[in-house]
Amino acid sequence: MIDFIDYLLGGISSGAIIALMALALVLVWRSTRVVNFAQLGQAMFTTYIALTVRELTGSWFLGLIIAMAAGLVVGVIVHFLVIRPVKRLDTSGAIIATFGVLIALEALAAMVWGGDPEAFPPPINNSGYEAFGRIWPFSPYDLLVLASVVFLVLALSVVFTRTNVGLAMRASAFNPEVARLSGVRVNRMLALGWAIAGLVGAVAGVLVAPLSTLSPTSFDIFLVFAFTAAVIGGLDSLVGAVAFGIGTGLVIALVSGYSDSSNAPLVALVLLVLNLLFKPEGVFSHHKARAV
Amino acid sequence: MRYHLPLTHPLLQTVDISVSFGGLQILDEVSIGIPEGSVTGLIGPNGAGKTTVFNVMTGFVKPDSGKVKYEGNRLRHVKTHHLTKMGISRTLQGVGLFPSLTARENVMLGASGHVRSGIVADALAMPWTDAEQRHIRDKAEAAMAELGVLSEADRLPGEMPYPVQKRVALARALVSDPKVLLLDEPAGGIGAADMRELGRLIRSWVPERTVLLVEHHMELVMEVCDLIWVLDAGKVIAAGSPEEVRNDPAVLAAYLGEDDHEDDHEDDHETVH
Ligand SMILES: Nc1ncnc2c1ncn2[C@@H]1O[C@H](COP(=O)(O)OP(=O)(O)OP(=O)(O)O)[C@@H](O)[C@H]1O
Ligand SMILES: [Mg+2]
Repeated sequence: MIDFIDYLLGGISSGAIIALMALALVLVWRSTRVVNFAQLGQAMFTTYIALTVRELTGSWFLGLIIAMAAGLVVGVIVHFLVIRPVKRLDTSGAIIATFGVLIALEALAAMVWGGDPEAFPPPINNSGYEAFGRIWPFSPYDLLVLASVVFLVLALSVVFTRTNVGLAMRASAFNPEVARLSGVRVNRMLALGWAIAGLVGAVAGVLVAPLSTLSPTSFDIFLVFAFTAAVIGGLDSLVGAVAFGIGTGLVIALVSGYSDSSNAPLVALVLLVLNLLFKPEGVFSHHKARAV
Repeated sequence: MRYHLPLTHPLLQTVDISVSFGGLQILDEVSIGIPEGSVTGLIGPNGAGKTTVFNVMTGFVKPDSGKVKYEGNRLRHVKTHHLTKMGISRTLQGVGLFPSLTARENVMLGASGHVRSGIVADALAMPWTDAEQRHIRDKAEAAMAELGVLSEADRLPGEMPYPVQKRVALARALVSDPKVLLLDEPAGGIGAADMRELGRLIRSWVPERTVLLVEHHMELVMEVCDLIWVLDAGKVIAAGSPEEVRNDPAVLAAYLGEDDHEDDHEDDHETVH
């Protein structure tokens, strides 16, 4: 029983990070109906930028802020330079183009920073809290991760539900033509969706780096988890992405704890297949079955 | 045959608009004008091309030839999202509300063209300090009050009866304070009492606003319109006052063999294309 609690506690922060990654995928899907397979490639790239800033200035926080800004910029660039031109021709082309972006970013990162894994130490203590005479697998750093994710999700929900831009983004995602008729600059809103997704992914990257290592391909595995969470959540539900992101993190922690962490991707795929078989429209989606 | 009518001051007009889809001629040199301050009707049997005229005016469909003029200037490369700022507002056949947004949010959206603050400023400004947000909210509530749907402000479209949804859609078109309202079958699917009120409402907007009304309910059209254009199979076949159009043999022929449209309830779809 205590094992079970330990595994769950240990999975909270990675679950929260997977929630952010799934959120990024959902933001892009909602704006342009594209699954962005380069999302974590973008996150990897901005995390390298954070690492460089951190090495130069000694400030983890400054690294995070610069990475977030870089995430916004990279998101907008990918949208305008790759997605918009390709999507004008056809949508599945745009999805394949995101693979191209992923490969390009990984190659570029390897050229700039080298292909070897780099350490990205946590900014604060990452050893578990001690209480009731034992050490629990939940550290001050896990708390920082959790607080950051909660803050970001709350901030996003305020933007989406309380501001004109949020309203316009939701409308653009649902029906671009009616939105245009209402005076919404839809193309800007789509670009903004990519930008915010880039920012969210950048935060996820900086937060997850201390829990793994940083190499051009080290985030690839998280795409599997984030994609699983996003799809089960319904692909266009922000709430679904967060809920199932955390859920996926916990399941992975349990699987890794009771068996071996190498089984985790397999379990994620099984969850994905079960979901597609039994509830293909996703748990939180209000749309009918989707054709993916 | 092309029908021309001398119009002194058309606020909005199409000049020889032709549209074809996949080799099919949908509009054939359609020239219609909407005098400023009038309620102008655009009628015709199903498939005549009325919605397509709206689509050309609002930039959804590019005509093969011909032009649209607004306030005397040719509308070239109109960006649809600029229309409300220019004073042109349109409702869709059906409802066209966003099902996941409340009535108030739907109506507020109609003022998007008037939002001045930039994306970043808006996203960062806290809601309670955002004066513009409040201003738009006030305008939306005023429009909803005018349409008698203020009490529905916090409900989702799916929770309202169809005629109420149509009113909310009208409020969304009104909130940008348009000079011209393009209404595509606003009376579709609503009852007699609602229709009488709609007629009064439309008349109350002129002459401050100008209305182009596409409608199958003839009694409403005859009652509220100053001028009526009749379209059949993509061609203008008649135009004139309600009296003139009612007695025009070409119009009678066009409607002959047509079912009575007044009972049509194919209004649950949003027709844009
Ligand atoms: N995007 C499109 N592609 C192909 N054909 C189209 C398209 N849009 C409209 N049409 C055709 O053009 C014709 C005119 O359509 P339109 O919707 O303008 O008619 P309408 O007068 O509004 O009819 P209704 O009274 O039924 O709304 C129809 O035959 C329709 O099938
Ligand atoms: Mg129509």
